Formats: sequence, structure tokens, C-alpha cells
Amino acid sequence: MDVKKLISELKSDDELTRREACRALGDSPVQEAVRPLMEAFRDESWLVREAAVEALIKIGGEKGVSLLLSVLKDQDARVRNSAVEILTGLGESAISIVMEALHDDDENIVRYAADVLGDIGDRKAAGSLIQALKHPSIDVQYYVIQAIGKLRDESATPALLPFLDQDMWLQSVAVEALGAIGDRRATSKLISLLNTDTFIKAQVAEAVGRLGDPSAIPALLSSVKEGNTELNHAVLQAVVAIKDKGTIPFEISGEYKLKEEAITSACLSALENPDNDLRKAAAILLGWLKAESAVNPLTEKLKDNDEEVSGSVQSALIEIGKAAVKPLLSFLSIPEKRARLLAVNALGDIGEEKSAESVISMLSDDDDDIRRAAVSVIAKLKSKKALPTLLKLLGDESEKVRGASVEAVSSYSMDEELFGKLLSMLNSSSHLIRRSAAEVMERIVDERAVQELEALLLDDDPAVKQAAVFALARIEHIKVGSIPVMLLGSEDPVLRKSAAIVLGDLKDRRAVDPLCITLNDENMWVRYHSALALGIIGDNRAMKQLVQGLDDPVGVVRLACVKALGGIKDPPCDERLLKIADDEDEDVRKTLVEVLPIFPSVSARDAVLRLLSDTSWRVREAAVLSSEKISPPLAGSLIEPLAADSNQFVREAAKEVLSRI
Amino acid sequence: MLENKISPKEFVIIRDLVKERTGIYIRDSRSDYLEYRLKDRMLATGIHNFEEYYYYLKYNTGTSGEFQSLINLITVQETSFFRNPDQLKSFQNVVLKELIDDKNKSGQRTLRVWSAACSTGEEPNTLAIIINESLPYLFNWDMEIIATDISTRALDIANKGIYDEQRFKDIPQGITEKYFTKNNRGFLAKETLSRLIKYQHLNLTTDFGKSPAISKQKFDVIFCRNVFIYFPDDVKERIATGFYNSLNPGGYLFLGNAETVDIRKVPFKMTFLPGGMVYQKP
Amino acid sequence: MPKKILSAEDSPATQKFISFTLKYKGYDVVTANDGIEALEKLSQDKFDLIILDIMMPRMNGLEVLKEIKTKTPYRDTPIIMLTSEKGDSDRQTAMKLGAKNFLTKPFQPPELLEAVEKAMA
Repeated sequence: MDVKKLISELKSDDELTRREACRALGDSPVQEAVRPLMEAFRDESWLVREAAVEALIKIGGEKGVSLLLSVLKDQDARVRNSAVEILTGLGESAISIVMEALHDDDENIVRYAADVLGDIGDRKAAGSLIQALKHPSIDVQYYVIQAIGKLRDESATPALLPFLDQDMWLQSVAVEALGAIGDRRATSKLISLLNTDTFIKAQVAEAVGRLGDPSAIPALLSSVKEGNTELNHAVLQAVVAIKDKGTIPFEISGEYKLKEEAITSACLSALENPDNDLRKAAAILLGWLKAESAVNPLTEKLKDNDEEVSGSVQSALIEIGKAAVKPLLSFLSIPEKRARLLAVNALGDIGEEKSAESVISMLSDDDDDIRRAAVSVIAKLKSKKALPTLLKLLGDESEKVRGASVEAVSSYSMDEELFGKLLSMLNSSSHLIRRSAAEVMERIVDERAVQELEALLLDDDPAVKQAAVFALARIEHIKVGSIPVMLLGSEDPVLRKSAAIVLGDLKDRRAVDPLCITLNDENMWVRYHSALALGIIGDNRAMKQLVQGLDDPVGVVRLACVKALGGIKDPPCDERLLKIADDEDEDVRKTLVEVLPIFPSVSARDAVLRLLSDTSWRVREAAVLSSEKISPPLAGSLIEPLAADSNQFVREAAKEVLSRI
Repeated sequence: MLENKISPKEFVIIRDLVKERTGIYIRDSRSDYLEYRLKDRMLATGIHNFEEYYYYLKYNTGTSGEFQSLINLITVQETSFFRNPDQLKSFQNVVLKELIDDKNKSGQRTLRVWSAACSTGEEPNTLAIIINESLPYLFNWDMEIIATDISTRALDIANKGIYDEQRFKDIPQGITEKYFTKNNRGFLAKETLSRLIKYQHLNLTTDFGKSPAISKQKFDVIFCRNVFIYFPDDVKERIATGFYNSLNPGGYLFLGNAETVDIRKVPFKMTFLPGGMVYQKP
Repeated sequence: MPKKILSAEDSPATQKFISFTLKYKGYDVVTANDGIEALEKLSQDKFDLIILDIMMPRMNGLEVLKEIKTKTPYRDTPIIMLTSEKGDSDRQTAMKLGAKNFLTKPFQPPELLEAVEKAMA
């Protein structure tokens, strides 16, 4: 790389050339490039200046840092700006020198040094910054406080509290800093500020919200003031923010009861605000307050454009309960689909039986989403009156409606009359109804349906056949045995697949040989279910084939074979399984980890422990849980670092296991 | 069975799969939204067990696979004709005019427009109408609108070209009559419009290099409105770079109202027009 | 209709201070954290007044000022520049670009409000 050429390109007429030259110089850091790059700070194009900044960050160095500090005094805002950015970008390596600069005579240097330390964010600087609070200049104090806030170091809280008594300029930055630090020690002083007539009340409320201390809620709510929308909105969001942080045993009582109307009205006005987060907070609060007086305007907000808001409104209405039923019922016939769905589902969750009357008409709506929702809600409300219509919907043209109806009908208590109707539906002329009725039979598991179901095994429609196979399997009727094996030879892959599933459920040993054949089926899901079934049956005649399956081109089949080998539990298995630890598919590796604890061998144990550092979080998590089963004491020290894993689920699993060891 | 909620872990697993394959990132607060649609698909496929459904999603790929079916549900969009009229006016009166003038002067009467998240087709039809109105001698021009979307279901609807009366409420009366015929199912786009538009399935995250309609030509204008909000920054940057490379020099990119490109990362120029900002390739 | 103000300022504390003070007085306030965001926001809405901090990362207030005066429809909109020292070369540059209103940090709410009213008069 020709450094001289690049340096001369820094003077090119074309800004893109100059920018590229900066970038290239940064990529191969050379000391001679430092001065020319610093001149590039003054470039008229900010694209070039930015590239110069990044290049200088890469080059770094102690001399560079001192040079940069002196540049902080420069007349030109652009240059100062760039110097600050570079120092921030240098991060840890620049900290000690920049901390020195806090003692400089020149106010500007101190100020910018504070800025840089705040942006670097390393808590090592906390002590020096706290000392710098003593500086006589308000300007400096302002930026030092701000920097301290960015460090988020709780040790600074006591030093900041006195600034809440200062004039508003410093008060404001101190409030902000305390909010950012999040130390609850600041709560009471901030609350007392809330009770004064300060200009920055809303800002204080927001900071209190960030601290998250539930004891602040009464004070926050009582500071709600008629007409002061800015404050009220900040209060609402602060209360919700605190509430979100944990359960709060708090009752609106006594003096705060007087404020309930003011709070409710503040929430109602917030519901009209263009800010989505604010509307959401208002809805949450109204639900929490169980504000019955607000149900009408609240229900209107089911039409809100923002999904999170309308979702929160729905939850609030459910919390308010019976008082919301009337307005919700009126929403069942509006044109806005999304709001209708929210309303009907809310009625289902509130659970007042009388709502069922109005919901019944939705069962014949043109839109299948509406029909489907109505079906689920009717089932929740347990309306007997709706049963005939539900039965009709078992033959609905829409799959999701049929599916929901099957679930719904199955949830009713099965009396003679209902059972009789379902039985006759198994002979319906509509294949959709035959199928749904068979699916219901699968759920209610009644032997009296066996004859009809057997007849369906010869049905024309494959979906009906499949449903019959599953239903009979659940009833565990002996005659079923040979039929699924026959179906393994069907031309339809869906039937072959269902047959495999059922044979596994039945644990039918006669199926082992046929299933070993379907392990080589052309359809991957047939192979998958065949493997799983062999694992459930657990006969080690299948071992050879399953081991061959470990080389299947499709990951999900390999995974099923791994699982199945775990079901067979034959000691020679584990050697062949171990190479799976390097499988390219994370789900396959994860399944291996789950299965290995079954094998007592040392190599199996080592494989599990090795996979604790797998690249995929799913594998690591499974490895944590498996390690516990293998050898708790050894595992303990290896699991410990995972309590600080980058992934939350791995962390949770690690902490849970460690607490048990 | 139906009423089981999905666990946070299950939500993350699906979310990650969707992000990996489409770039779309489903925020935590939308877990209810995802759950509802997952349940729909689980009902439809008859798979009740989450883990099994996840495998079915992961390994059933291709445009007729289960993953596509889920994507079709997740990407349902609110859309209408002449959406964001101020922006479209700027397109017509400034951008299109400039392009037409330049191309008339140079003699290269080729115009290529890409509607990159066309959903059910309202946007490309709108653009086709605007261009038709601006170019009386369209037959002299080689003009094509490529309209792409990740949802096969939306594209099916777009290809049929039949729209509900509701969608036309914001259009001036004369336009509807000129370009659509009314039948018993709604309004059907006339051939004068539909022959200008070519629909194609495209996943902006994975298919940029693969689709010939996109990779083998350059565009004068790209519209990509109201999908950027679903992408995280790294994906946005990649797609914006793809757009940049697909544009002719001087070409324009229109995004949705509050959507932006980080011009420090992708070297577009921000240009101010009366109807809002547009990005231009220098 | 309340007057709409864009405030471009990279320090969150100052930003909040300005925002809350002006909103308290009934103005509508939109905030931006740097120069580029300021330009983006300007293109998405209509403003009656713009407040620009000179010291902002990457694209600083002076460049935004230049961009506004030369390339956007906001040529004649009143702009207040926030500076942190008096008698600066920055101030000179800003005046050359056409800025007429300045406010020096630190300032109290009444000073801010006075500057705003004066600029929009």
C-alpha cells in the first residue's frame, strides 16, 4: 500500500476519493498518516471528516491522544467535534489521559473531557468525574453531571442529589442523570421535587419512572393535574413503567381515591394522543384501576391503528370485566374487522354467559376469521343454544373454522343426544363432515364409535381415512393392528405418514420390520415418523437401519434417528451417535445432546460437556440441562460460566441447574 | 390444546427462523400477533405439537411449503390505491417529468420501475396509472413495472387484478372508470394497465441476485413503502445497498413516510421534494 | 393551531429541557438527535421554527443550517442557533449563512421562551 499516494489523494478534488483515501489509511495504520488525517478534520465534506475520524481511531496511540486533547480548544466546531469523536472511539486506551484533562486550567478542555468520558462509558472514570463536580463553572458542572449519568454508576448518586436543589439548568441535567443511573436511593428526593412547582415536573416524573420504585406510585398519581397534559402523560407512562418492573401490591384508597377521577380523566385524554406508547400506557392504567366509568371511550380504542395499543385496550377491558360487556357487544356488528375480533375474544375471556346470544350470529359471518373466533368464544361461554350451529360448522368450507369447531364440540359434555348426532355424522355425505366428526371422536375416545370408524378406513377421501386411523388408535381397539401396517404401503404419503405415527402410538412390535423399510421412503416426513415410531417401540432389531439413517440428507430425519436410537438404548449405539456432535444442523446436535445422558459411557459424557460451548444457543441450553443428569459435580464448574451467557434462555437454564446442584 | 400460549422460548425460535430467512424481525410486543397466526397454521396442518410444527416449518421450504404459508399470514398489509398522494404527486410532477425529459433528449425511451413490496397490487397499478397519464405516447416507449412481494398469497390476488369497491374511495372518479371494469366481484384492472406490470415472487433478503427480472436490469425508480419498518438496521442496510446497485445513476428510491436509509452507510443523496424526501443515486 | 418547532440537539438532558419548557407553553415540539435526523424530520412535517445546536456529531449545526438555507423549503423559516460560548467563530459563520437568532448555553426557561417569541415575531 502506497502511503504517500494515499496522503496526496487526501487533497483530491473529488470528495469520494478523499474519503476512500482516509479509509485506506485507517486500514493500514501508519504514524505518518496521523497529521494529514488530522488536517482532514477540516475538510468541508462531512463524509470525509467522518472517514478521517474512523481512520484515526484505528491508528490511535498516546501521542495521538495528547494531540487530540489540544485540538479540543480549536476555534472550529467541526474540528472540535471530530476530536471528541475520535477520543470517544479510542475508548479504554484514552481514558487515563482524558481523566488527567479534567484538571486542566482551560474550562473548555475540562468540559469536552467530561463529554468524552461519558461517551466512552467506562466506570473507571466515575471517581474523577465526581471530583470534577466541584468545579466552579456551571457550564462544566452541567457536562460533568451529564457524563456521570451516562456511566450509570450507582456510587455517584449521593454526589448528585444536592444538585436537585440548584437552579433549573443543573436541576434538569441532574434529574436526567439520576434517572439514567436508576438508583432507587434518589426516589424520595425526586418525589419531593415533584411536589414543588418546578417547570420540569414532567421530566422528574419520567426519571422516577425509570427508577422503578413502587413506593413512588402514590406520589406520581397525586401529582396528576387537570389541564397539564404534558405532566399527566409523563406520569402515566412512569406509573406503567414501574408497574411493568414487577408486581405491586397497591390499592387506590384514601386520599388517592379522591384523585381517581382526575387520573381516569387524564388517562382518557391520553388515549387520544398521537403517541402510541402513551395511549398504550393509558389503556394499561385504566385496566389496572378497573375504571368502569371509562368503558365506552376505551372500547372505541379497539379500533386503534396500533396493534399494541388495541391489544392493551382489549386486556384492560377484560380486566374491568362485566362492566365492559355492554359496549363490547355493540362492537360485534361494526365493519372494522380487527376491532370486532378483539371485542369478541374479550367477551370470551370475560366469560359472561349472556354474551353468547349476540355472538351466535357471528357464526354465520362471511369472513372465516370471524366465524373461527366466534366458535372459540362460544365454546368458552359454554352456550348450549349454539351447539346445533357448531355442529353444522364441522362441515364449514374453511379449514380453520372446521378445526376450531372440532375443538369446540369436543369440549362440550358428551350426553347421549350429542354423541348420537356425532355418530350419525360419521356417515354424512359430506367428506368434510365425516372427517371432522372422526376428529371429534379422536378427542372424546368412546368405544361405541368403533364400528363406524372402521367403516371409514375404506373411505374414498384420504383425509377421512387418516382421521379414522387416528381415532381408532386412540381408542386402542385391537382390530386396528393390521390396518395401519397395511396403510404403510399406501400410495398416498399422507397415509403412510399417519400409519407410522399410529404404529408408534400403539407400540406394535409387528410393525418393526415394515417400519424399517419405510425408513427409506422417498418422502421425508414418512422417514421422520417411521424413525420416531421405531424409537418408541424400542426394539433393537431396528438399530442397523437407524444408524444408517444418521446419514440421511435431510436434517429432520437424522434428528429423528438420533432420538430413536436413544429409545433403543443399546450400548453399541453411542459410538455411532457421537459423530453427530459435528452435524451442521443445530436441531440435530440439540437432539443428540438430549439423548446422550441415557448412555453411561465416558465418551457420551464428554460429548455433552463439549457441546456446552456450541455455537447455537439451543444446543448450549440443552447441554446445560443434560449435564445435570450426567455428573452434577463435574458439570457444575463447566456450567458456571454459562450463567453469564449471551443468550437469556441459556442463562436461565444455567442458573436453574446451578441452584439445584 | 388450542388455548395453550406459546412460551417465550418458542416465540424466539420462530422469530429467529423468520428473521434468518426473510429479514423480517417480529418485535417482542407482537408475540400475540405471531401466536394467533401460528395457531391458524397448526390448525390447518393438523399438527398440535409445537416442536413438530417448528420442524415442519424449518424443513418444508419452497414457495408451496409451510414456511411460505406462514409468511403469507404474517405479511398481510393494509394497502390502497394512491396511497400517500403527496408523495405520488412529487413522483409525477418532479421525478417522472425529469426522467421523461432526460430520456426524450437522449433518445433512450426506456423506463423501468420496481414496486418492491407490491402486496396485492394496488401500488404497481397506481404507478401504472400515473405513468400512463403522464406519457400520452406510451406506445413509443419501452416501459415496464416489475412488482415483487414475498407473499405468494398477495401475488395471487394481484395477478387476478380484481379489487373491492372500498379500495377506490380515494381515487378521482374518472380514473376508476378509465382503467377498471366493474363486474359482480368488484373492479377488474383493464388490460391497458395489467400489461404494463409483471408480478414476481421475491424475498428481498435472499433473492436479490437470483431473480433475473431484478438482477439483469437496472431501474429508474424503486418504490419500497412501508416494509422497512419490519426490518432491523442490518437488514435495511443490505437491502438498501441492493436497491442502490439496482438503480441507474440518477435513479430514485421512494420509501414510506417515516422510513429512512442511513446515508452514511449507503451513499444515496437526500433530496427534498414538496411531498417528502426521496433518495437519489448520484 | 399550535406552532410547531423542531429542536435538534444531541444532549438528551438539554433536549428534554427545551422540549418540556416549550410544550409547557403550548408549542408542539419534535426532536432530532443529530443533523441528519433533523433533515429527515424536516422533510416529514411542516415547522414554524427550527432550533439547532451548533455542536452535534457528524453533521453539525452549521452544516444543517447551510443545507436548510440552500436546499430545503425552509429558507425563510426563523432559526435559533444554540452556542456554548460567546463571541465564537462559529457564530460568525452562522451569521454569514443567514442565521439571526442565537442563544447561549446555559439558559433558563424564560430566556428560551423569549428567544422563541422574538424569532417568530
